[in-house]
Amino acid sequence: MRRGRLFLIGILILTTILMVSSLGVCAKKTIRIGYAAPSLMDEGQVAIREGAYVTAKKFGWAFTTTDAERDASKQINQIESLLARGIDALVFVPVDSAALTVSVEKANKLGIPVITIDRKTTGGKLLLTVQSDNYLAGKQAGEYMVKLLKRKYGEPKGLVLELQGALGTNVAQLRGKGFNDVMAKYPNIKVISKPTNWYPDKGAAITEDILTAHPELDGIYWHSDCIGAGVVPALERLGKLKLIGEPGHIFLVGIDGTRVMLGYIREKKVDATMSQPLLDHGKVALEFLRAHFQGEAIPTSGLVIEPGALWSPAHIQMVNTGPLINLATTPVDLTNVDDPRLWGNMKKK
Amino acid sequence: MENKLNSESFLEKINLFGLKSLVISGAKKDKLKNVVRIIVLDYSIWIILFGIVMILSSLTSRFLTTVNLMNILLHSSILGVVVIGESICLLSGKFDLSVGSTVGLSGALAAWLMVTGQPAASGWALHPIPAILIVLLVGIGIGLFNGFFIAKVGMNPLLTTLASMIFLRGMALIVTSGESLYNFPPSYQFLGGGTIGPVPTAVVIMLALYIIFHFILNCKKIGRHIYIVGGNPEAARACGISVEKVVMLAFMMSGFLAAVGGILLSSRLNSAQTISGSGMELDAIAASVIGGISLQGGRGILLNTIAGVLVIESIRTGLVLLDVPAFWIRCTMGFVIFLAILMDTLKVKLK
Repeated sequence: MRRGRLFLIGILILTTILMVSSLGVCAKKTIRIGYAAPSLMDEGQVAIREGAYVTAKKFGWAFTTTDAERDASKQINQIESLLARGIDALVFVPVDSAALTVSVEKANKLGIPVITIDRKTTGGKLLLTVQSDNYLAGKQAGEYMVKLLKRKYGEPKGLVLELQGALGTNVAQLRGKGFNDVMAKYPNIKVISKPTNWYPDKGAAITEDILTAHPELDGIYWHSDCIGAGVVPALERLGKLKLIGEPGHIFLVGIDGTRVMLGYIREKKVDATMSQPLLDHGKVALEFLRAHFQGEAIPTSGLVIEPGALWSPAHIQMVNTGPLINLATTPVDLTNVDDPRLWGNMKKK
Repeated sequence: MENKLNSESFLEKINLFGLKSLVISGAKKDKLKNVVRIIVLDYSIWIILFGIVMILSSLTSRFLTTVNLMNILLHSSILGVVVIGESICLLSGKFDLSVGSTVGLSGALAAWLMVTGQPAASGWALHPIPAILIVLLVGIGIGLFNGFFIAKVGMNPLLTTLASMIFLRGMALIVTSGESLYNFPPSYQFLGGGTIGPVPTAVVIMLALYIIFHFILNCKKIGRHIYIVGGNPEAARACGISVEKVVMLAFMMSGFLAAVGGILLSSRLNSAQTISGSGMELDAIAASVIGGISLQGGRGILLNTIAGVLVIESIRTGLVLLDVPAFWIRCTMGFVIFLAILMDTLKVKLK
């Protein structure tokens, strides 16, 4: 009895020790970046973080990552912990543009420079925002679609379905405007636009409905490859998925450049996707940050050119939070789908 | 004689802190030994918390700073408020899975009533006080709805509150139209974002609510009834306690506290999102259980659940301060919760 009790007490003590024994180590004094990821379960976000991490290592900087699990309040808490921990700069992708303004204001008060990636906050002072040029991506997708239609009919005409993201979001608006500005130049191309709220199943359902009503549909353009990931299997189910070059092939063009979509392009199921330079977002952000630490001012307008880089040329504009740089997107089709610089080709760890 | 009096008043004092088991074993001779035993067993979570704080402080000098300790308290405050309600439900022998969605809907509703200049808002630009009252009433109403169907109709608490969890999240989506509503009046922002002296307002509110509900649970008839109903509903019914009423009240308290949590959260974020508070129900149950509230009902000390929340938040913050790779943090949290429940089970065996 007594021994049994001692044994239990022993386990109690052991578990107490175990509860904290999984903790790490302290670090020495170097420049330290706090990186607050919105979610590490999203492949695009993993790519953005990877780019920032690799660049920080190259500069010899320390790098602390947190994962908000798509929860704005968690991200605010984590940024507070990072600030309490002591960091020299905060780099993050806001879970929510409105809520995370609170964190930017807090960092501003402490004089810690803040860079956001992928989207900006609604308020606060940002050293820089780095994002993909979503208008350009839409424009490139439109131009690619026109090229395909021209090849099919000898002139730009036909019927195209546009699967939009969530209409309230800035990203969907820009990707829609870029595409439709191109289409407006060709009166013989008719565009049907339907919102999907970024949901693949909704994209699939709309595709099925439109194909029932318009079997002559020539092409589909989706605002995000996550929508396309639902459309391709839906076409397969309907027996409407023909490979590029086969009669009856419906042109498929999207934006993002996910691993899945690059796979479809290799299989000749999908024509093209406008790849975001996700691996470069963090690199560009940290390069500007280094310039800032060296006392250089961040430009507020004009073009940034780096020969050979996928993201170049990028243009900078001034917004309410500070300078914002739009990185160029890259049209990807069968000719360049194996380019190792594309984030969709990033090696799995 | 005097000695006896002293020990009795000492017992009474201790009882105020919720040491139920002491009163039962109080008749035995070796009282001091009992007191020590009970402090070790009933309050072991505080010892664990102390141990964790000590270890984290020894690993990094940044842990034991005023800024960081205030951060941990602030990060704990919203979950802490929700945990009170969840604990009361667990004590009454039931479950409330709808608290996370209630948090989300409350924030969304508050924003919808107050925010101006955004198409998704109502445009009424209500003053914060009536808006808060409406939100609190809605919270109580949600609890009443859950409690009625669980206690009076006899529906399964897990499934009923699972259904309300889904329904209420959908309501939040309707209220916000899926967008973020932001920019509250400054007086509303003060609740979750302001400070009283050096202490964040939300922390003061959490502590006040803990004291109030601790008092209700330990010094009021309804509180004792919650323990009895949770421990043995048949016996409670035999004693003439209206089990239905007690369960409904427990759910109403839970709904009310979740609404308070939603107000604090939206105020702290200065915005409301459809998904705010999702997953909080599980954090709340975890913190309650770490704090020693029995999943079988009727057993546990409310004040210990603060320690449960603080343990979770200290470790979460500590892991960031120690630069533990983000990829590992989730695993570590799951592991820690597992260990806490293991300890709780072993503790019951020791008793």
